Amino acid sequence: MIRKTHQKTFTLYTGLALLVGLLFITSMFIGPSTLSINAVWAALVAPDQSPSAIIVNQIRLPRTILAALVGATLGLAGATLQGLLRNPLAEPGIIGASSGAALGASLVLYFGLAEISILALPIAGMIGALIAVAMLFLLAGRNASPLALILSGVAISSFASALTALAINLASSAYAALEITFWLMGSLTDRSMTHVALAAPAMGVGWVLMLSGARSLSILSLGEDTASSLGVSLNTLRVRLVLGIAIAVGAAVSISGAIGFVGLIVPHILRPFVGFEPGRLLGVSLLGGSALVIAADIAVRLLSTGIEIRLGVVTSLIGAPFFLFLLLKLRRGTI
Amino acid sequence: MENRGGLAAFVLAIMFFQTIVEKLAIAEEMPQRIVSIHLCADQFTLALANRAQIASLSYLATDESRSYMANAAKGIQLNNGTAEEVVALRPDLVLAGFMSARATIESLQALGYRVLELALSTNFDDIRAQIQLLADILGNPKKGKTLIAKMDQQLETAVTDIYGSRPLAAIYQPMGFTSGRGSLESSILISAGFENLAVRLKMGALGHLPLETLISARPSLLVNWMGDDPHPSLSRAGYAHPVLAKGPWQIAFIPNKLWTCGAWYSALAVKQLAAIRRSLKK
Repeated sequence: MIRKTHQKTFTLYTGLALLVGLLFITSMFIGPSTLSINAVWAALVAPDQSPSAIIVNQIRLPRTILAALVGATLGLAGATLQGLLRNPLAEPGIIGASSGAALGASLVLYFGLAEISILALPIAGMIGALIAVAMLFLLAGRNASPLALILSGVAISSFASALTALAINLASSAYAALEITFWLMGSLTDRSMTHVALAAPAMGVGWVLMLSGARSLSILSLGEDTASSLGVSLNTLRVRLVLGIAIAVGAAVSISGAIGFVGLIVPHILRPFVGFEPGRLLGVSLLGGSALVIAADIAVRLLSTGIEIRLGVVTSLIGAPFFLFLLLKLRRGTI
Repeated sequence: MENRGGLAAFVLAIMFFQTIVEKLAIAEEMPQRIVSIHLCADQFTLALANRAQIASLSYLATDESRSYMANAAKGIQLNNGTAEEVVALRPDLVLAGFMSARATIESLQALGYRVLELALSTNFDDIRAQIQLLADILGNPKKGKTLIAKMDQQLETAVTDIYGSRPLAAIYQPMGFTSGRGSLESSILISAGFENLAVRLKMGALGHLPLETLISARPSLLVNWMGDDPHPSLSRAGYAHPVLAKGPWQIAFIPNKLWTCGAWYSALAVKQLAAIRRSLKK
């Protein structure tokens, strides 16, 4: 039985990793300029100053890396939140972590703090996400019903969005207002390796914190009392996971803007494959999130002619109906 | 004798009547309390009306980063463009413009105020027509003719000694926004002797230029007209892509205030770009 589970897990991981790899390679070929397989290959192995090498190495590569990292962060954070809150509707966007991060980042933009240090943006994103998640715990409590949790999330999101709107409203430059508005829609267009270097370490730290709680999350699914009796310190676990979520999501959102619903869709699709065990859902959701966001970012580039369609708009268009579908399922008691 | 007296009285009466008609006509032609609620209308009002005619200008009129006539606007009462403020100023002419709040304009019209809405000028023919229209309405047609002549003179001298093919250039704003056919930016770029990349790519007034497209098209010049905006924004914070700084192009920062309205001073933007065009030696 155990061996069979391991084998299944191994197959699942291999499959997802292959999917991510395949999408990653595909992404290197998608863009406004058509490049042949040879040109992309040559650019990757022997980078020079030719236009095709610049396009591949400095535009498509950082963009795809960021899609992979941001997607992984959102997928993993969704699975972690769902395990921690024991609620299948928890997701960084729905509970307000993304709006919190977006607010933090908008304030930095608004007050011009980003000009002081390039680190100001990701740090403000993390602080915003942390405050939002902490508020959720205060508002909803830990044994909140799915409804109470979602309502608390809606309240936090609305408040954060209202403050963001205030920042846009009062922005001294029309261009800064436009910038915040577009940035909020979520996009990975024309990001550079600087962005990768800025966000990747923080996302990595967040992942380690979240993944380290995998076993405890599985035990937690048996009930808080059982978990305590098995030696899981709930408070430590909660602090560790919330910090992990805030650091990773804050860093991700500060680079890409808000990309919603990834953390909802991915764990839901993958849950049946891991025997509904929250701990085992984490790793696969990381890979699944990666695959979903790279795919969505490919779709954005294929669909855009003229004014680009924003990545966050695409994921929300897919995600919002999915959320409704989950709500209906929840009402029928089939989740 | 009696007849002659009657004639004289008649002539006098006619002369008197004529003066009244003329006075009325002037009152009709020359607004005495102009209120502008639009940055572009501010510029034209300052250039074409007598200072005594101006009751109030928009709050942006004295902003040196956006208003070309900021200096001249000093000392004039400013408004935030709400109907309440405008009514309190007792205007005989309200100047609004593209992107002014619809509700404000409609409520002022409903209250019986004379509201003139400026259209967005996207080329120099539009600009000439708009200057003359406003000069006539403000009661100073001569000032209009002088201003147009000055602009045409500047446009002409800007492009003397420029021969040969048009180098490719692109308007490139932070986040990759660009301007194609039907935009003032494009008209300025083309008047300065360049070919506009966005027009070549068949883009409309607002388009998006991904960096990839820029790198494959290799324009000789990128024009940024937001560069001197002193207000905080992402692009000023070092988030711009490093590739931008290393491309085969020159990046020109043309002051923001020369682009916000289609006006006589748009010729100065042409002049600055034409100077760059000359240095490219193509």
